[in-house]
Amino acid sequence: MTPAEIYEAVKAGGDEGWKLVWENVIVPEMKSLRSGELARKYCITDGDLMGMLYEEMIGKGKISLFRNDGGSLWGWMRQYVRGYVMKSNPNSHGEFSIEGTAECNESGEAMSLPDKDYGVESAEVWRMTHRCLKDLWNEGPRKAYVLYLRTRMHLSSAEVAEMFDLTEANVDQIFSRSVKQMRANWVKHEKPR
Amino acid sequence: MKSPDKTLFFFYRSIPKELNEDIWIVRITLPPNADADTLMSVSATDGNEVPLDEATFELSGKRISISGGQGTLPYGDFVKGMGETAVWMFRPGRTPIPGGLTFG
Repeated sequence: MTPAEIYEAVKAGGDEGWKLVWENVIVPEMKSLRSGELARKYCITDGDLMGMLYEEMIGKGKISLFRNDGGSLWGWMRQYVRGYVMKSNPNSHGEFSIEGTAECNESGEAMSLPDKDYGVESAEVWRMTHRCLKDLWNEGPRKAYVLYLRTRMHLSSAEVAEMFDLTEANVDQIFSRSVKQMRANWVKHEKPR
Repeated sequence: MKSPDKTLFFFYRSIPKELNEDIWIVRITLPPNADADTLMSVSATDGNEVPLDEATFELSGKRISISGGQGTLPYGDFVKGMGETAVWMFRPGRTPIPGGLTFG
């Protein structure tokens, strides 16, 4: 397939294009020392990244922001995934952020990421975060507590497990599901742009 | 059941209300290395940071008496009732106001 055909296949959102995304973006990025290790540390699976990327590129139409003028689509998407993983640090600034893009690549060059749509003021982010947390609480307070203790109080899975008489694996699973649910809640409440 | 070797805080807040007097804010402090019998201290104020008095805070299925802005809750009870979604503040002469866990 030519680069143009690949781009069209990915943009179409079908299995043909997204099988290529899996092979050329998700798998190599998860194998990379930097983001792969961080993703595993933050309990982000390759399925999570695939789901996030599909949602952003196809659901929100950000694939159209790629300047299909000879640059590597895979490189562009890998930078997007990398930025998402970097911004998913639950210990960053004591607040949970599920929206983010990387600003520079590893060489310090500004990346042409589709970040122009992220015009949310911090107060709005705070409001939305609490709205999503409230939804999570209503689904099960334990999920909200695990998310809170891992992100806001910077506890490890082992420490949370000991607090609530759970296993570390339980805590990781609850945390991973809570992160997914918060993301889904965010999309649900987000105002159309 | 044991808490880690650091002090932890849980913040709860009422749903948004127009008047600061109707807003309630609760901070629960869990001491380091707490076990089931350790008491968590509950601190409650209104939106003007005035300590609540003669109030009752419901959390984890327990009703905690608040006097002079302070109350206590055994850590074991907190964990046992963690599945309860109801979070309310009852104050004499006022409508009970619900709230929830917040990040701060």
